[in-house]
Amino acid sequence: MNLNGQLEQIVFRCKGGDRSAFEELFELYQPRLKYYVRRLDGSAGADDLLQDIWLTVFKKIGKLKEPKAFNVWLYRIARNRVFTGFRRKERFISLPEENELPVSNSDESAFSADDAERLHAALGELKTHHKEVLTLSFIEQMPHQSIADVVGCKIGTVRSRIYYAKRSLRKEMERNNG
Amino acid sequence: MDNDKKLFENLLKADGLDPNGPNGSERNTFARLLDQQSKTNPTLSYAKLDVWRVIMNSKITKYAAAAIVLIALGLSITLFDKTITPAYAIEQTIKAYNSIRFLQVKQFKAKQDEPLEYWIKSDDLGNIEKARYYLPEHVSPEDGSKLITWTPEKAELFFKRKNAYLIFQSKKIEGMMQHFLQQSQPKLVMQKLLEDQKAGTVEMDTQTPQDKQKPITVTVTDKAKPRKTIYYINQATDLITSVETYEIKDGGDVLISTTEYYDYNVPIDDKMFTIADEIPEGVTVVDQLSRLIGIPQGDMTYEEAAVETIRQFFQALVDKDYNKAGLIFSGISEEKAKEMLGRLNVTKVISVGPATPYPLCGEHSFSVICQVELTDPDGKKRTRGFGGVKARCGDDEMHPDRWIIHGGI
Repeated sequence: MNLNGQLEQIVFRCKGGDRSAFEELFELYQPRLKYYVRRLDGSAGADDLLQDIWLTVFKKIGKLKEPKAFNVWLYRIARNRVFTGFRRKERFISLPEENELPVSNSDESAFSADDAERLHAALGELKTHHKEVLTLSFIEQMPHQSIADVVGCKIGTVRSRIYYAKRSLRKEMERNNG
Repeated sequence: MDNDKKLFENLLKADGLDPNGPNGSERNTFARLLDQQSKTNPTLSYAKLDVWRVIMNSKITKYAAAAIVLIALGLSITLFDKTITPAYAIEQTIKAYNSIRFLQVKQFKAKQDEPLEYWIKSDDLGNIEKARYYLPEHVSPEDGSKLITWTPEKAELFFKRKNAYLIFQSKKIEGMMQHFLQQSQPKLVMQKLLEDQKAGTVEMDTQTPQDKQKPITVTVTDKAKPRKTIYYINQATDLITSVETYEIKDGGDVLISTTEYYDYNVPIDDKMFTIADEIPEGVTVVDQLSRLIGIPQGDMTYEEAAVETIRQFFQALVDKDYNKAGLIFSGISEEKAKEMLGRLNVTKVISVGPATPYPLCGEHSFSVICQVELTDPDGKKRTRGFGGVKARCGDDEMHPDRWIIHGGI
Protein backbone atom coordinates (compact mmCIF):
# COMPACT_ATOMS: atom_id res chain seq x y z
CA MET A 1 0.00 0.00 0.00
CA ASN A 2 1.39 3.44 -0.85
CA LEU A 3 1.60 6.37 1.56
CA ASN A 4 -1.66 7.88 0.39
CA GLY A 5 -3.38 4.54 0.80
CA GLN A 6 -1.98 4.18 4.31
CA LEU A 7 -3.11 7.67 5.21
CA GLU A 8 -6.61 6.96 3.94
CA GLN A 9 -6.71 3.84 6.10
CA ILE A 10 -5.65 5.83 9.17
CA VAL A 11 -8.23 8.53 8.49
CA PHE A 12 -10.88 5.90 7.95
CA ARG A 13 -10.05 4.38 11.34
CA CYS A 14 -10.14 7.83 12.94
CA LYS A 15 -13.61 8.34 11.56
CA GLY A 16 -14.56 5.17 13.39
CA GLY A 17 -13.19 6.56 16.65
CA ASP A 18 -10.01 4.46 16.82
CA ARG A 19 -7.77 6.11 19.36
CA SER A 20 -4.56 4.53 18.08
CA ALA A 21 -5.35 5.88 14.61
CA PHE A 22 -5.50 9.40 16.04
CA GLU A 23 -2.10 8.79 17.60
CA GLU A 24 -0.72 7.66 14.25
CA LEU A 25 -2.14 10.75 12.59
CA PHE A 26 -0.56 12.93 15.23
CA GLU A 27 2.82 11.24 14.82
CA LEU A 28 2.63 11.78 11.10
CA TYR A 29 1.48 15.38 10.99
CA GLN A 30 2.45 17.22 14.16
CA PRO A 31 5.97 18.37 13.17
CA ARG A 32 5.02 19.54 9.68
CA LEU A 33 1.79 21.11 10.90
CA LYS A 34 3.76 22.93 13.55
CA TYR A 35 6.18 24.23 10.96
CA TYR A 36 3.29 25.54 8.86
CA VAL A 37 1.49 27.13 11.82
CA ARG A 38 4.67 28.77 13.06
CA ARG A 39 5.29 30.30 9.66
CA LEU A 40 1.78 31.73 9.50
CA ASP A 41 1.55 32.75 13.12
CA GLY A 42 5.05 34.16 13.23
CA SER A 43 5.66 32.87 16.73
CA ALA A 44 8.07 30.28 18.03
CA GLY A 45 5.45 28.59 20.18
CA ALA A 46 2.06 27.89 18.64
CA ASP A 47 1.23 25.06 21.04
CA ASP A 48 -2.13 26.52 21.97
CA LEU A 49 -3.04 26.90 18.33
CA LEU A 50 -2.04 23.33 17.58
CA GLN A 51 -4.10 22.01 20.46
CA ASP A 52 -7.12 23.83 19.12
CA ILE A 53 -6.45 22.49 15.65
CA TRP A 54 -6.27 18.89 16.84
CA LEU A 55 -9.35 19.38 18.94
CA THR A 56 -11.20 20.50 15.83
CA VAL A 57 -9.89 17.46 13.98
CA PHE A 58 -11.28 15.15 16.69
CA LYS A 59 -14.63 16.82 16.63
CA LYS A 60 -15.09 17.09 12.90
CA ILE A 61 -13.28 14.18 11.33
CA GLY A 62 -16.48 12.15 11.41
CA LYS A 63 -17.92 14.60 8.91
CA LEU A 64 -15.00 14.36 6.50
CA LYS A 65 -16.51 12.59 3.49
CA GLU A 66 -13.36 11.73 1.58
CA PRO A 67 -10.41 10.38 3.61
CA LYS A 68 -8.12 11.19 0.70
CA ALA A 69 -9.02 14.86 1.14
CA PHE A 70 -7.64 14.83 4.68
CA ASN A 71 -4.46 16.70 3.85
CA VAL A 72 -6.24 19.71 2.42
CA TRP A 73 -8.93 19.54 5.10
CA LEU A 74 -6.37 19.55 7.93
CA TYR A 75 -4.46 22.52 6.56
CA ARG A 76 -7.67 24.45 5.98
CA ILE A 77 -8.55 23.95 9.65
CA ALA A 78 -5.07 25.06 10.66
CA ARG A 79 -5.18 28.09 8.40
CA ASN A 80 -8.60 29.17 9.64
CA ARG A 81 -7.49 28.78 13.23
CA VAL A 82 -4.34 30.85 12.71
CA PHE A 83 -6.16 33.65 10.94
CA THR A 84 -8.91 33.66 13.55
CA GLY A 85 -6.09 34.24 16.02
CA PHE A 86 -4.81 37.09 13.89
CA ARG A 87 -8.18 38.75 14.00
CA ARG A 88 -8.30 38.32 17.76
CA LYS A 89 -4.94 39.94 18.08
CA GLU A 90 -5.98 42.68 15.68
CA ARG A 91 -3.09 42.05 13.42
CA PHE A 92 -4.96 40.26 10.73
CA ILE A 93 -3.99 41.64 7.37
CA SER A 94 -6.06 40.72 4.40
CA LEU A 95 -4.07 39.09 1.68
CA PRO A 96 -3.39 41.14 -1.40
CA GLU A 97 -4.01 39.26 -4.60
CA GLU A 98 -1.25 39.54 -7.16
CA ASN A 99 -2.19 39.72 -10.77
CA GLU A 100 -2.39 36.22 -12.03
CA LEU A 101 0.54 35.43 -14.21
CA PRO A 102 0.85 32.66 -16.73
CA VAL A 103 3.63 31.04 -14.74
CA SER A 104 4.65 27.60 -15.85
CA ASN A 105 6.05 25.02 -13.50
CA SER A 106 9.34 25.07 -15.31
CA ASP A 107 9.87 28.63 -14.19
CA GLU A 108 9.75 27.56 -10.60
CA SER A 109 13.33 27.07 -9.68
CA ALA A 110 13.93 24.30 -7.19
CA PHE A 111 15.76 24.65 -3.88
CA SER A 112 18.27 22.07 -2.90
CA ALA A 113 18.15 20.28 0.42
CA ASP A 114 21.44 21.96 1.30
CA ASP A 115 19.66 25.30 1.09
CA ALA A 116 17.39 24.37 4.01
CA GLU A 117 19.04 26.46 6.74
CA ARG A 118 19.18 29.59 4.59
CA LEU A 119 15.76 28.85 3.16
CA HIS A 120 14.25 28.59 6.62
CA ALA A 121 15.78 31.90 7.69
CA ALA A 122 14.70 33.65 4.51
CA LEU A 123 11.14 32.30 4.74
CA GLY A 124 10.70 34.26 7.94
CA GLU A 125 11.23 37.50 6.03
CA LEU A 126 8.52 36.91 3.45
CA LYS A 127 4.93 38.13 3.45
CA THR A 128 2.51 35.77 5.17
CA HIS A 129 0.73 34.70 1.99
CA HIS A 130 4.06 33.95 0.36
CA LYS A 131 5.29 31.96 3.36
CA GLU A 132 2.08 30.00 3.32
CA VAL A 133 2.18 28.73 -0.24
CA LEU A 134 5.87 27.95 -0.09
CA THR A 135 5.51 26.07 3.18
CA LEU A 136 2.72 23.94 1.78
CA SER A 137 4.77 23.38 -1.31
CA PHE A 138 8.03 22.52 0.47
CA ILE A 139 6.69 20.62 3.46
CA GLU A 140 3.74 18.83 1.97
CA GLN A 141 4.82 18.87 -1.67
CA MET A 142 1.21 19.79 -2.18
CA PRO A 143 -0.04 20.16 -5.75
CA HIS A 144 -1.10 23.66 -6.74
CA GLN A 145 -4.76 22.71 -6.83
CA SER A 146 -4.58 21.42 -3.26
CA ILE A 147 -2.83 24.59 -2.12
CA ALA A 148 -5.60 26.56 -3.80
CA ASP A 149 -8.14 24.48 -1.87
CA VAL A 150 -6.37 25.17 1.40
CA VAL A 151 -5.90 28.87 0.80
CA GLY A 152 -9.28 29.32 -0.84
CA CYS A 153 -8.22 30.97 -4.06
CA LYS A 154 -7.86 30.12 -7.74
CA ILE A 155 -5.08 27.85 -8.93
CA GLY A 156 -3.73 30.67 -11.08
CA THR A 157 -3.36 32.80 -7.99
CA VAL A 158 -1.43 30.03 -6.29
CA ARG A 159 0.90 29.77 -9.27
CA SER A 160 1.58 33.47 -9.29
CA ARG A 161 2.04 33.57 -5.53
CA ILE A 162 4.54 30.74 -5.70
CA TYR A 163 6.34 32.51 -8.53
CA TYR A 164 6.58 35.79 -6.62
CA ALA A 165 7.30 34.02 -3.37
CA LYS A 166 10.25 32.13 -4.84
CA ARG A 167 11.53 35.30 -6.44
CA SER A 168 11.36 37.07 -3.07
CA LEU A 169 12.96 34.10 -1.41
CA ARG A 170 15.86 34.12 -3.83
CA LYS A 171 16.40 37.83 -3.25
CA GLU A 172 16.25 37.36 0.48
CA MET A 173 18.73 34.51 0.41
CA GLU A 174 21.09 36.50 -1.80
CA ARG A 175 20.77 39.47 0.52
CA ASN A 176 21.55 37.30 3.53
CA ASN A 177 24.61 36.01 1.74
CA GLY A 178 25.82 39.58 1.34
CA MET B 1 16.71 9.99 -0.03
CA ASP B 2 15.24 12.22 -2.71
CA ASN B 3 15.90 15.92 -2.64
CA ASP B 4 12.33 16.91 -1.69
CA LYS B 5 12.28 14.68 1.33
CA LYS B 6 15.70 15.84 2.44
CA LEU B 7 14.64 19.46 2.00
CA PHE B 8 11.52 18.77 4.05
CA GLU B 9 13.53 17.19 6.85
CA ASN B 10 16.19 19.87 6.86
CA LEU B 11 13.62 22.66 6.98
CA LEU B 12 11.98 21.11 10.01
CA LYS B 13 15.33 20.61 11.69
CA ALA B 14 16.20 24.24 11.00
CA ASP B 15 13.11 25.17 13.00
CA GLY B 16 14.11 22.90 15.88
CA LEU B 17 11.56 20.24 14.96
CA ASP B 18 12.14 16.53 14.67
CA PRO B 19 10.92 15.36 11.25
CA ASN B 20 10.42 11.87 12.64
CA GLY B 21 7.65 12.84 15.02
CA PRO B 22 6.43 14.95 17.92
CA ASN B 23 8.43 15.42 21.11
CA GLY B 24 7.50 13.89 24.47
CA SER B 25 5.78 17.02 25.68
CA GLU B 26 3.59 17.13 22.60
CA ARG B 27 2.74 13.47 22.90
CA ASN B 28 1.68 13.96 26.48
CA THR B 29 -0.47 16.94 25.59
CA PHE B 30 -2.03 14.98 22.77
CA ALA B 31 -2.75 12.05 25.08
CA ARG B 32 -4.55 14.44 27.40
CA LEU B 33 -6.49 15.82 24.45
CA LEU B 34 -7.54 12.31 23.55
CA ASP B 35 -8.50 11.62 27.15
CA GLN B 36 -10.63 14.73 27.25
CA GLN B 37 -12.19 13.92 23.94
CA SER B 38 -12.97 10.35 24.89
CA LYS B 39 -15.02 11.67 27.82
CA THR B 40 -17.25 13.62 25.51
CA ASN B 41 -17.09 11.19 22.60
CA PRO B 42 -17.90 7.65 23.69
CA THR B 43 -17.09 6.31 20.24
CA LEU B 44 -13.43 7.06 20.77
CA SER B 45 -11.96 3.74 21.74
CA TYR B 46 -9.07 3.40 24.15
CA ALA B 47 -5.91 1.93 22.85
CA LYS B 48 -3.34 1.30 25.52
CA LEU B 49 -1.25 4.42 25.90
CA ASP B 50 2.45 4.01 25.66
CA VAL B 51 3.24 5.80 28.89
CA TRP B 52 6.93 5.29 28.42
CA ARG B 53 6.81 7.65 25.50
CA VAL B 54 5.25 10.31 27.64
CA ILE B 55 8.15 12.24 28.92
CA MET B 56 7.23 15.74 29.75
CA ASN B 57 4.40 18.17 29.72
CA SER B 58 3.81 21.62 30.95
CA LYS B 59 2.19 24.72 29.48
CA ILE B 60 -1.12 25.16 31.09
CA THR B 61 -1.45 28.90 30.73
CA LYS B 62 0.53 31.83 29.48
CA TYR B 63 1.14 33.16 32.96
CA ALA B 64 0.31 30.22 35.09
CA ALA B 65 1.67 26.88 34.23
CA ALA B 66 2.81 23.71 35.82
CA ALA B 67 5.30 21.16 34.76
CA ILE B 68 4.94 17.46 34.91
CA VAL B 69 7.80 15.19 34.29
CA LEU B 70 7.69 11.52 33.74
CA ILE B 71 11.15 10.17 33.37
CA ALA B 72 11.32 6.89 31.66
CA LEU B 73 13.92 4.76 33.27
CA GLY B 74 14.28 1.88 31.01
CA LEU B 75 16.38 -0.26 28.92
CA SER B 76 19.34 -2.35 28.26
CA ILE B 77 22.76 -3.32 27.27
CA THR B 78 24.40 -6.45 26.01
CA LEU B 79 27.83 -6.22 27.56
CA PHE B 80 28.46 -8.32 30.57
CA ASP B 81 30.79 -11.00 31.68
CA LYS B 82 29.26 -14.34 30.74
CA THR B 83 31.50 -16.14 33.19
CA ILE B 84 29.96 -14.53 36.25
CA THR B 85 27.36 -16.16 38.42
CA PRO B 86 24.07 -14.61 39.57
CA ALA B 87 23.77 -14.07 43.30
CA TYR B 88 22.22 -10.70 43.81
CA ALA B 89 18.50 -10.06 44.47
CA ILE B 90 16.71 -6.79 43.84
CA GLU B 91 15.22 -6.90 47.32
CA GLN B 92 18.70 -6.11 48.65
CA THR B 93 18.72 -2.81 46.81
CA ILE B 94 15.21 -1.96 47.95
CA LYS B 95 16.30 -2.61 51.52
CA ALA B 96 19.47 -0.57 51.08
CA TYR B 97 17.44 2.47 50.09
CA ASN B 98 15.61 2.43 53.42
CA SER B 99 18.60 4.16 54.94
CA ILE B 100 18.93 6.78 52.23
CA ARG B 101 17.76 10.28 53.16
CA PHE B 102 19.47 12.39 50.50
CA LEU B 103 20.17 11.70 46.87
CA GLN B 104 21.22 13.60 43.77
CA VAL B 105 20.53 12.50 40.22
CA LYS B 106 21.70 13.63 36.81
CA GLN B 107 20.15 12.38 33.65
CA PHE B 108 21.91 12.84 30.33
CA LYS B 109 19.80 12.55 27.22
CA ALA B 110 21.48 11.33 24.07
CA LYS B 111 22.71 14.18 21.85
CA GLN B 112 22.09 16.76 24.59
CA ASP B 113 24.87 18.33 26.63
CA GLU B 114 22.90 19.74 29.52
CA PRO B 115 21.58 17.14 32.00
CA LEU B 116 18.32 17.08 33.91
CA GLU B 117 19.15 17.35 37.59
CA TYR B 118 17.22 16.22 40.68
CA TRP B 119 17.78 16.62 44.38
CA ILE B 120 15.66 14.36 46.56
CA LYS B 121 15.18 14.25 50.34
CA SER B 122 13.36 11.30 51.90
CA ASP B 123 11.88 10.84 55.36
CA ASP B 124 12.75 8.10 57.85
CA LEU B 125 10.41 5.69 56.11
CA GLY B 126 12.09 6.28 52.77
CA ASN B 127 9.19 8.33 51.38
CA ILE B 128 10.01 11.41 49.36
CA GLU B 129 9.75 14.51 51.51
CA LYS B 130 11.16 17.24 49.29
CA ALA B 131 12.45 17.47 45.77
CA ARG B 132 14.06 19.92 43.41
CA TYR B 133 14.34 19.59 39.66
CA TYR B 134 16.19 21.47 37.01
CA LEU B 135 14.86 20.77 33.54
CA PRO B 136 16.94 22.20 30.70
CA GLU B 137 15.40 23.74 27.64
CA HIS B 138 15.67 20.62 25.48
CA VAL B 139 13.15 18.82 27.70
CA SER B 140 10.46 21.27 26.63
CA PRO B 141 11.68 23.79 24.06
CA GLU B 142 8.36 25.65 24.12
CA ASP B 143 8.74 26.53 27.78
CA GLY B 144 12.49 26.89 28.01
CA SER B 145 14.38 25.77 31.09
CA LYS B 146 12.46 25.25 34.33
CA LEU B 147 13.31 25.06 37.97
CA ILE B 148 10.84 23.23 40.18
CA THR B 149 10.72 22.58 43.90
CA TRP B 150 8.13 20.36 45.45
CA THR B 151 6.87 19.44 48.91
CA PRO B 152 3.46 17.97 49.72
CA GLU B 153 2.40 21.44 50.87
CA LYS B 154 3.72 23.60 48.06
CA ALA B 155 5.12 23.56 44.58
CA GLU B 156 7.21 26.36 43.08
CA LEU B 157 8.00 26.71 39.44
CA PHE B 158 10.21 29.22 37.67
CA PHE B 159 10.11 29.65 33.91
CA LYS B 160 13.28 31.53 33.09
CA ARG B 161 12.37 32.45 29.53
CA LYS B 162 8.80 33.42 30.38
CA ASN B 163 10.06 35.35 33.38
CA ALA B 164 7.29 33.81 35.46
CA TYR B 165 7.32 32.34 38.95
CA LEU B 166 4.38 30.21 40.04
CA ILE B 167 3.54 29.15 43.58
CA PHE B 168 0.73 26.65 43.71
CA GLN B 169 -0.65 23.37 44.90
CA SER B 170 -3.19 21.11 43.33
CA LYS B 171 -4.24 17.53 43.67
CA LYS B 172 -3.84 17.05 39.96
CA ILE B 173 -0.29 18.34 39.93
CA GLU B 174 0.50 16.52 43.14
CA GLY B 175 -0.60 13.28 41.56
CA MET B 176 1.56 13.91 38.53
CA MET B 177 4.52 14.89 40.68
CA GLN B 178 4.13 11.78 42.79
CA HIS B 179 4.10 9.72 39.65
CA PHE B 180 7.29 11.40 38.50
CA LEU B 181 8.89 10.93 41.88
CA GLN B 182 8.12 7.25 41.71
CA GLN B 183 10.00 7.15 38.43
CA SER B 184 13.04 8.99 39.76
CA GLN B 185 13.42 7.45 43.21
CA PRO B 186 15.56 4.31 42.89
CA LYS B 187 13.82 2.41 45.66
CA LEU B 188 10.42 2.89 44.07
CA VAL B 189 11.83 2.10 40.64
CA MET B 190 13.18 -1.20 41.89
CA GLN B 191 9.91 -2.07 43.64
CA LYS B 192 8.07 -1.41 40.38
CA LEU B 193 10.60 -3.56 38.58
CA LEU B 194 9.87 -6.48 40.90
CA GLU B 195 6.15 -6.05 40.31
CA ASP B 196 6.69 -6.00 36.54
CA GLN B 197 8.78 -9.13 36.77
CA LYS B 198 6.08 -10.91 38.73
CA ALA B 199 3.49 -9.75 36.23
CA GLY B 200 5.63 -11.13 33.43
CA THR B 201 5.83 -7.86 31.50
CA VAL B 202 9.63 -7.72 31.60
CA GLU B 203 12.52 -10.11 31.38
CA MET B 204 15.33 -9.64 33.84
CA ASP B 205 18.90 -10.85 33.71
CA THR B 206 21.09 -10.25 36.75
CA GLN B 207 24.84 -10.74 36.68
CA THR B 208 27.18 -10.41 39.64
CA PRO B 209 30.88 -10.21 38.75
CA GLN B 210 33.28 -12.02 41.00
CA ASP B 211 35.40 -8.89 41.11
CA LYS B 212 33.69 -6.91 43.88
CA GLN B 213 34.89 -3.66 42.38
CA LYS B 214 32.71 -4.22 39.34
CA PRO B 215 29.03 -3.37 39.54
CA ILE B 216 26.18 -5.84 39.47
CA THR B 217 24.24 -5.47 36.24
CA VAL B 218 20.49 -5.96 36.05
CA THR B 219 19.35 -5.97 32.45
CA VAL B 220 15.64 -5.49 31.98
CA THR B 221 14.02 -6.11 28.63
CA ASP B 222 10.50 -4.90 28.07
CA LYS B 223 8.35 -7.54 26.38
CA ALA B 224 6.00 -5.04 24.81
CA LYS B 225 8.44 -2.45 23.51
CA PRO B 226 11.84 -2.50 21.83
CA ARG B 227 13.59 -1.28 24.97
CA LYS B 228 16.17 -2.38 27.42
CA THR B 229 17.44 -0.91 30.64
CA ILE B 230 20.60 -1.76 32.42
CA TYR B 231 21.00 -0.95 36.08
CA TYR B 232 24.51 -0.78 37.52
CA ILE B 233 24.57 -1.59 41.23
CA ASN B 234 27.42 -1.13 43.63
CA GLN B 235 28.24 -4.53 45.17
CA ALA B 236 29.35 -3.04 48.48
CA THR B 237 26.30 -0.85 49.08
CA ASP B 238 23.61 -2.47 46.90
CA LEU B 239 22.78 1.08 45.70
CA ILE B 240 22.32 2.02 42.06
CA THR B 241 25.15 4.03 40.57
CA SER B 242 23.77 4.50 37.08
CA VAL B 243 21.07 3.43 34.65
CA GLU B 244 21.35 3.25 30.89
CA THR B 245 18.34 3.20 28.63
CA TYR B 246 18.46 1.84 25.10
CA GLU B 247 16.12 1.51 22.19
CA ILE B 248 16.58 -1.86 20.52
CA LYS B 249 17.06 -1.48 16.79
CA ASP B 250 18.09 -3.84 14.04
CA GLY B 251 21.35 -2.02 13.48
CA GLY B 252 22.25 -2.11 17.17
CA ASP B 253 20.96 -0.69 20.42
CA VAL B 254 20.68 3.08 20.54
CA LEU B 255 21.41 4.86 23.81
CA ILE B 256 18.52 7.09 24.88
CA SER B 257 19.72 8.31 28.23
CA THR B 258 22.16 7.75 31.05
CA THR B 259 21.09 8.43 34.62
CA GLU B 260 23.69 8.82 37.34
CA TYR B 261 22.90 8.54 41.04
CA TYR B 262 25.40 10.02 43.46
CA ASP B 263 26.02 11.78 46.77
CA TYR B 264 23.92 9.28 48.65
CA ASN B 265 23.17 10.63 52.13
CA VAL B 266 25.19 13.79 51.60
CA PRO B 267 22.87 16.30 53.32
CA ILE B 268 21.17 18.81 51.04
CA ASP B 269 20.52 22.26 52.46
CA ASP B 270 16.81 22.98 52.96
CA LYS B 271 17.26 26.20 50.95
CA MET B 272 17.62 24.01 47.89
CA PHE B 273 13.96 23.02 48.21
CA THR B 274 12.57 26.49 47.68
CA ILE B 275 13.41 28.81 44.82
CA ALA B 276 11.87 31.96 46.33
CA ASP B 277 15.29 33.42 47.11
CA GLU B 278 16.62 32.76 43.64
CA ILE B 279 13.97 34.60 41.65
CA PRO B 280 15.31 37.71 39.90
CA GLU B 281 13.58 41.07 40.22
CA GLY B 282 10.85 41.95 37.76
CA VAL B 283 9.54 38.42 37.44
CA THR B 284 5.78 37.91 37.11
CA VAL B 285 4.82 36.21 40.35
CA VAL B 286 1.69 34.08 40.31
CA ASP B 287 0.98 33.17 43.91
CA GLN B 288 -2.03 30.90 43.92
CA LEU B 289 -1.34 29.59 47.39
CA SER B 290 -1.34 32.54 49.75
CA ARG B 291 -3.86 34.66 47.84
CA LEU B 292 -7.55 33.92 47.49
CA ILE B 293 -7.70 33.98 43.74
CA GLY B 294 -10.69 34.18 41.42
CA ILE B 295 -14.35 34.68 42.19
CA PRO B 296 -16.67 32.37 44.14
CA GLN B 297 -19.15 30.19 42.28
CA GLY B 298 -21.87 30.66 44.89
CA ASP B 299 -25.26 29.56 43.60
CA MET B 300 -24.35 30.02 39.95
CA THR B 301 -24.31 27.20 37.47
CA TYR B 302 -20.95 26.42 35.87
CA GLU B 303 -21.89 28.29 32.70
CA GLU B 304 -23.10 31.29 34.66
CA ALA B 305 -19.95 31.31 36.75
CA ALA B 306 -17.77 31.26 33.65
CA VAL B 307 -19.59 34.23 32.15
CA GLU B 308 -19.53 36.07 35.47
CA THR B 309 -15.78 35.49 35.81
CA ILE B 310 -15.11 37.16 32.49
CA ARG B 311 -17.61 39.95 33.17
CA GLN B 312 -16.08 40.75 36.55
CA PHE B 313 -12.58 40.66 35.11
CA PHE B 314 -13.30 43.21 32.42
CA GLN B 315 -15.40 45.30 34.80
CA ALA B 316 -12.41 45.38 37.15
CA LEU B 317 -10.34 46.72 34.26
CA VAL B 318 -12.98 49.36 33.58
CA ASP B 319 -12.88 50.29 37.29
CA LYS B 320 -9.06 50.26 37.23
CA ASP B 321 -9.26 47.72 40.07
CA TYR B 322 -6.08 45.91 39.14
CA ASN B 323 -5.92 43.98 42.37
CA LYS B 324 -9.20 42.27 41.55
CA ALA B 325 -8.29 41.88 37.88
CA GLY B 326 -5.00 40.25 38.89
CA LEU B 327 -6.73 37.84 41.25
CA ILE B 328 -9.05 36.71 38.50
CA PHE B 329 -6.20 36.64 35.99
CA SER B 330 -4.66 33.49 37.54
CA GLY B 331 -3.42 35.40 40.59
CA ILE B 332 -0.87 37.89 39.29
CA SER B 333 -0.03 40.87 41.48
CA GLU B 334 -1.87 44.22 41.29
CA GLU B 335 1.28 45.89 39.99
CA LYS B 336 1.76 43.30 37.28
CA ALA B 337 -1.91 43.41 36.32
CA LYS B 338 -1.69 47.15 35.86
CA GLU B 339 1.46 46.80 33.80
CA MET B 340 0.09 44.02 31.61
CA LEU B 341 -3.58 44.89 31.32
CA GLY B 342 -3.78 48.62 32.03
CA ARG B 343 -2.60 49.55 28.57
CA LEU B 344 -5.72 47.99 27.06
CA ASN B 345 -7.69 50.85 28.64
CA VAL B 346 -11.00 49.03 28.76
CA THR B 347 -13.73 51.61 29.29
CA LYS B 348 -16.93 49.58 28.97
CA VAL B 349 -18.11 45.98 29.00
CA ILE B 350 -20.46 45.62 26.03
CA SER B 351 -21.39 41.96 26.13
CA VAL B 352 -20.22 38.72 27.73
CA GLY B 353 -21.30 35.24 26.74
CA PRO B 354 -22.35 32.71 25.88
CA ALA B 355 -20.02 30.17 27.49
CA THR B 356 -19.26 26.94 25.69
CA PRO B 357 -17.53 23.95 27.32
CA TYR B 358 -13.76 23.79 26.82
CA PRO B 359 -12.72 20.54 28.50
CA LEU B 360 -9.09 20.89 27.53
CA CYS B 361 -8.50 23.19 30.49
CA GLY B 362 -10.35 21.02 33.00
CA GLU B 363 -13.67 19.36 33.62
CA HIS B 364 -15.45 22.61 34.39
CA SER B 365 -13.84 24.93 31.88
CA PHE B 366 -15.52 27.19 29.38
CA SER B 367 -14.68 29.41 26.48
CA VAL B 368 -16.49 32.73 26.71
CA ILE B 369 -17.09 35.20 23.91
CA CYS B 370 -17.14 38.87 24.88
CA GLN B 371 -16.97 42.38 23.56
CA VAL B 372 -15.55 45.42 25.31
CA GLU B 373 -15.00 49.07 24.48
CA LEU B 374 -11.41 50.29 24.43
CA THR B 375 -10.35 53.91 24.43
CA ASP B 376 -7.17 54.75 22.54
CA PRO B 377 -4.70 57.34 23.86
CA ASP B 378 -6.15 59.88 21.41
CA GLY B 379 -9.59 59.39 22.97
CA LYS B 380 -10.98 57.39 20.08
CA LYS B 381 -13.31 54.62 21.22
CA ARG B 382 -13.48 51.27 19.50
CA THR B 383 -15.04 47.87 20.07
CA ARG B 384 -12.80 44.87 20.65
CA GLY B 385 -14.11 41.35 20.52
CA PHE B 386 -12.49 38.42 22.31
CA GLY B 387 -13.19 35.17 20.51
CA GLY B 388 -12.97 32.88 23.50
CA VAL B 389 -11.51 33.75 26.88
CA LYS B 390 -11.10 30.59 28.93
CA ALA B 391 -12.54 30.45 32.43
CA ARG B 392 -12.28 27.50 34.72
CA CYS B 393 -13.32 26.38 38.17
CA GLY B 394 -10.72 25.63 40.83
CA ASP B 395 -12.08 22.11 41.20
CA ASP B 396 -9.23 20.11 42.66
CA GLU B 397 -6.95 23.12 42.96
CA MET B 398 -6.14 24.86 46.22
CA HIS B 399 -9.18 27.14 45.88
CA PRO B 400 -12.07 24.87 44.95
CA ASP B 401 -15.28 26.52 43.81
CA ARG B 402 -13.45 29.67 42.75
CA TRP B 403 -13.17 30.70 39.14
CA ILE B 404 -10.23 32.21 37.31
CA ILE B 405 -9.23 33.11 33.78
CA HIS B 406 -7.11 30.41 32.25
CA GLY B 407 -4.50 31.04 29.60
CA GLY B 408 -4.60 34.80 29.19
CA ILE B 409 -6.83 36.91 27.02
